[in-house]
Amino acid sequence: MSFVEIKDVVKRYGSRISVDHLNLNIEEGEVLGLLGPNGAGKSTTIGMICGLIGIDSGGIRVGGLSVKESPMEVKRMLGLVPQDLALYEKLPAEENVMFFARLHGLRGSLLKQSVKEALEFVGLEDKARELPATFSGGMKRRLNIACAIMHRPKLVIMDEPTVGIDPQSRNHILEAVRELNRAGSTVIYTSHYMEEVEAVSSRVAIIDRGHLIASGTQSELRERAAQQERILLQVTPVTEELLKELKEHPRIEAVEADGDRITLYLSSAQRSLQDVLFICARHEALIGSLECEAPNLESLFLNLTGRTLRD
Amino acid sequence: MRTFYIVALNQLKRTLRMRTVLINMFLLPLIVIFLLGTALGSVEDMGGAEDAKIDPVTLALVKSEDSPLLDGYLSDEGVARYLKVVEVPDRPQAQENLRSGEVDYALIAAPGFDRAVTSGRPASLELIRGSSHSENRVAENVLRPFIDALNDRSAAAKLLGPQALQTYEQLPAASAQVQDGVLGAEGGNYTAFQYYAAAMLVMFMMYSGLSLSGSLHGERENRTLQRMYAMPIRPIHLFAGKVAAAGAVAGLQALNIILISKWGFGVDWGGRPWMLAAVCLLMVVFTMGMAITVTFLTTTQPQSASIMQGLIVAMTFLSGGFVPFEGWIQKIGNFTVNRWASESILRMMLHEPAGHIGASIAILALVSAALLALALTVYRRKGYAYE
Repeated sequence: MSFVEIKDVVKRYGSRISVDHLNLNIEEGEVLGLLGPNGAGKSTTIGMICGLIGIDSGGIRVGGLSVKESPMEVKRMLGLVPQDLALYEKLPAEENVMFFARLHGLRGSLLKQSVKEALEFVGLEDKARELPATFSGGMKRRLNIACAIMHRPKLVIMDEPTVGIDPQSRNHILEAVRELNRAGSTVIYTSHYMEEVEAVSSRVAIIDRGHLIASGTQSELRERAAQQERILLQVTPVTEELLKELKEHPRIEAVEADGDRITLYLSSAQRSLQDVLFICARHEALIGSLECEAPNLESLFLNLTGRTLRD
Repeated sequence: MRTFYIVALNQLKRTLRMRTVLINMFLLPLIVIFLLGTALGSVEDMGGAEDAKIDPVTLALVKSEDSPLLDGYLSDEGVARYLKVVEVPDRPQAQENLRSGEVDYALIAAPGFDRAVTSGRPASLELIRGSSHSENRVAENVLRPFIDALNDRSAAAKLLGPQALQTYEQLPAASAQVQDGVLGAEGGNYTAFQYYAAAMLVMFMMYSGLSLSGSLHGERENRTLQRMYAMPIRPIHLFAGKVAAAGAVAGLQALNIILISKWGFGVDWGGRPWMLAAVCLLMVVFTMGMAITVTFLTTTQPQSASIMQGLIVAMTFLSGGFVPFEGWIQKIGNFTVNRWASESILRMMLHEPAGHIGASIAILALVSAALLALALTVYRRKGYAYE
């Protein structure tokens, strides 16, 4: 039996379906990367697992317990790191963690010990008495995590925990996820940053428009993505005519332009490279750099949905 | 229930650590009471220590023949204290004197006035007002018993016949009927300090509702509510904890205002601590009810703060909390909770009987209970949702 079982779950907001007959199993001790663009239904799915959002039909079980029938017991097993910072800015870091720990039922020496360990875990032990209002974005994100894991939850759910932070804090958070997993927690990690999911997840689930469109280990998904490669170009000038002609090429499936950088998605980079160079030359576009890239989850997502993750 | 205590204590700690709360809720009321009490201490309408002094009004009397009835009434000691009578020959002269300000009020008796009164026939008296509103009021109040008695006799004669007038020996003298009284059973008037201490206690207690509303919206806006709802707690315990903390702050605030104004400014709160505590408790209930209702009917913190501030200031103003009113504004003020809370406290300060104070408290209790019921209905319908 899987630790988290999501069975045929549907969630509607009025006439709009946010989660559409979603089926997903998460095994105990794994880190599941939940991938999808904005509005794919990731946060709604997490909200339903945590008992924050009602389920219209279907069911979710965590540790063998139904979220609908035993919400309190399920919540005792959970630690939610919300997408937005959920802290009291005018309460010292230590008291923030202590308050949420008390709500989880910790008290006495266990409470003190757990708070201390949680702050050490996120590297904020020397900032325990300082106010989060004085913290950097990355420190606040780390405190946000400490407030969710001090009771050593069996299931840690992280909803885009690295939004808007510096690389150093991001690495710290990614290392913390691995550490939590090593300590025995099952982790659900949502992001629309492919690199992060690739860095921490043992298994990946990709959802779009409320549907599960692919799931498996990274190597399994890479195999599926092998049909698609990328050519990364840096050219000047990037004109409308150049982009139009690239898009119209029969072997190029999608074109993304960002300033002087162009990304081409195509089934075989090698076979089309000559054509691409020829088109650039015809439009008098000077090539600064050119790179052919092996398939990855981003290209799989594009292949499956026709959209990029950041669309 | 553990959640209730944890949330309440956390909320209390956070509130009392905020410097602005300490200044606005604990220091500002005392400063306002001191300023208003000192500045308006000499205004008589504020309930200054001495009764207002009424100057005599000059009355122009026109009578074409002797009138023992009028003379007897006007020469009475009680009447003469307020009416200085000047006899003038005719009506035009009386009007002229009124216009020039030589007299303040005029009374014209028709020929045969006394005969008409004693025989039960219609008797005519003409009253002409002068330019001063307050002096007109004094003259009319003093003449009122005389005119009432005339009407009484006239009605008796008409109904029972002229023989009924034999039972009336003479028209009443004002001094025999009027007894000087003082406000309050023990003769004390409230001072400006007492008046504003009561009004500001009520107003600033209502501001604790603003802090509850801010905290309820705040949990939602800074996403801590979402985090808490993902924990094994019951939303009602969380909500009740926050309300209890705001109520406790309001209680501390009331205690602060009462004790510091008593020791610092010498405000006499009236020696009925349990009744005073009951008024404060009812104000806490009202304030929490108002805050909950407004919070759940608005979507953002600034929205609910604007509405609540508007309500608090408007109710304080209409109830006479800044400046006492008479007339239609006072009547509108009767529909504010401040009016009944302040009146309950002022009655305590005047050492009125418990029954009188209880009547005001009963109305306050009724309004508070109604608002609490409304608040709970709104809470049940809307719920304390995290987004």
